Amino acid sequence: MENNEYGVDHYPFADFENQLYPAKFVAECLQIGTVRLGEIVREHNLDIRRIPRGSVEARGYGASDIFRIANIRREIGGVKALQRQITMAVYVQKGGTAKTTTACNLAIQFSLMGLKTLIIDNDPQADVTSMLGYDPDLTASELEEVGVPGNRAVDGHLGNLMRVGNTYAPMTLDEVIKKPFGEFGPHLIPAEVTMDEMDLVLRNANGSDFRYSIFIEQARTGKLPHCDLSSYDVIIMDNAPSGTMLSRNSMIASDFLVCPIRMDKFSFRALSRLAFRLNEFAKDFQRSPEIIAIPTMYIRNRPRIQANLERLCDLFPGKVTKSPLYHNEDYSKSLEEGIPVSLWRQAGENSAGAFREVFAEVVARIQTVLEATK
Amino acid sequence: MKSSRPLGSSKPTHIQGVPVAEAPAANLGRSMSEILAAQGLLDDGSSVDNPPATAESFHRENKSGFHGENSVIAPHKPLEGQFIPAKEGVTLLDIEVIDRSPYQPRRIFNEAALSLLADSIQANGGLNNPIVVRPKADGRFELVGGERRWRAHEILQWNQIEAYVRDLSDEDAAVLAVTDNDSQEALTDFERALSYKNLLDQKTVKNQMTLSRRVGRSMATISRCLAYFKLPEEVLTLLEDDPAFIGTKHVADLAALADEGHKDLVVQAAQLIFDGKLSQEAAVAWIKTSAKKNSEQPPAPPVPVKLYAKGRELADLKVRGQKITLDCPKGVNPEEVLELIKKHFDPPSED
Repeated sequence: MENNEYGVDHYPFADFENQLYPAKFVAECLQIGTVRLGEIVREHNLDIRRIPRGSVEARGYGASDIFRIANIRREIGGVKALQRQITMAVYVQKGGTAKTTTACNLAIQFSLMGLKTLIIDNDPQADVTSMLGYDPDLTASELEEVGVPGNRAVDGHLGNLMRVGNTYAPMTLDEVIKKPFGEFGPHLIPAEVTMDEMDLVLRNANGSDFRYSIFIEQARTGKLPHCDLSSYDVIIMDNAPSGTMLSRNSMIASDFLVCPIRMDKFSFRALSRLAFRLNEFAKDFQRSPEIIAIPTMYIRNRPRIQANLERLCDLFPGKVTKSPLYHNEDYSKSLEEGIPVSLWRQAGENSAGAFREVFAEVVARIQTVLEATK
Repeated sequence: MKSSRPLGSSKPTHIQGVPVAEAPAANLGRSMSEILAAQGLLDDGSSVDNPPATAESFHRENKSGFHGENSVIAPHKPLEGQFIPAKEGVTLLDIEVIDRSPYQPRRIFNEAALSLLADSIQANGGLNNPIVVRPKADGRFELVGGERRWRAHEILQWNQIEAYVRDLSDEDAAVLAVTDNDSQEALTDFERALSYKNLLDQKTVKNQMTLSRRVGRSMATISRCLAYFKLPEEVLTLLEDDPAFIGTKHVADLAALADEGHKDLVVQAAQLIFDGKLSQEAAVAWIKTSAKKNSEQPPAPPVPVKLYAKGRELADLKVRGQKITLDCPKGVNPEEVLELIKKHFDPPSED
């Protein structure tokens, strides 16, 4: 093998543009019927690739087509948008509870709703970045050597956009942003290792707990010419399971805090700790984000795990989604192929299906909370 | 359905004896921009990052958002312990009346690190940790600790600095200058070694033991540092130029090699490290191998001696250290050779 310099026979690389999806899958993603899907395609003269199947040709939708259709549905009023722009943080101070999976798939689902979504990788480990197909370690030319497009390399992260202190070279949003599924899919502000120093940068800054809030507030209102985030309906930040300034900042900046909690290794403490911090914050500022706890790694018919879920619901009434995410092989299999489970063709009812149910609950909760705030 | 706990009306408030914090109800009524505005963090434009340091509000401690930890607290009603209390004993001194410390062990001032420090001082609106000075006879002040902070103020073009004025003896000032630096951006090993040596030479501290206690470094560290002064003069001159080029890890090796009479090699190797042509580790290895080459000629391979008997070649004889080996060519029975050899020696007496 010629690529052995990198220790890989085959660089795991998913070319999203050449992933083709059948109409049934697309319709299910968009929660519409295949007939309606066909109508939209015809009405808007969409140019969908044809793939031979038996004696007739069938449509083969690319990922970017799916998101384009989602966007069209929004424009023609086929979906209910949110009352206002929202910021979410996925955070719980416990490792391996499916934070990254949740963040990525939430972003995809929001885009499938037709909402313009930005996901910010706020973890120097850059898990979201890699889950969406980018390489936080290799440079563009190194990637091209192993046969991966150079635009899969990461150049710049949140620190380069925030321009606090002079640790990071200032860059513009256009230079940093990644669009793994095209213009209408979720956009990504990636991360890489040098983001580690962000903690120090934030610590040294004036108003160090509020830097993300300030940044998002200014970028959303168009006050930052180099980084205009005014068009995003949803901003999702994925965090490391640590208590760094990065996580603190994203927690304070968020309207909704999504906390995936593992049911097979139940840790109520992580959530309790979080609740404690939020209480303090609420006392000082008369503001508190809504917690949305999602039970993950749920296994049916196991009394111990069922008991854990009951306990969680009792401890945080009204904060836990009724549908859990199941312990399922699809997550690791789709990860191996480099495709988030929501866009993985083979995903079953217990993975992508369950996620859609959880997502529906999340959206309902968001709408209730926003309604109450008005 | 089986359950570990009967589902009743009472809500658990504790798990494993630990109270569980109740999640606060969502409250997004107050918008983030309101909070930021109240914090004074949303002033338009650049003032967010560069609070103007006017003469009156010279790095004001009571500015909201001073010190990151406290920024979570509401600005208007200061809670107890909100602000670092007006620091007791801190004097605002003019930058110009302060002189450098003669005991300053630091020779390298990293510009990038200095500007980072200046940034953080500016962002905090002052020092967390005032510098320490002592009064001089002429009414000026001498720096004891905080030359980097002082230089950072110069970069910021601030003309005053917060300082503790302390009456210190020369000895105390000298020791403080070392300990103060030791706890901050790392001194190079050589800089540290020099200052330790000075303290010892001037009898500021009695012995290495006392030094170890005063500067809070282990005896092992101190003796590793002092090994620098066993290096040849030429190497020490190079170290004066770049104190960082040899670390304590290899000093002992180099000193030992110089001591064993390979001084020239050590100087040569040091120059190579200094020029960046060799790593420290490689240099030590290089000296060792070159020294070996020079001293002991490798033993010449043994020259075989051929044994003949009755005009016929019997065996190749080689001497290897304390051993003698005989190699018999084809067609010669080694047993016969052994018999022949035996004949030449006295048979054991049969008494």
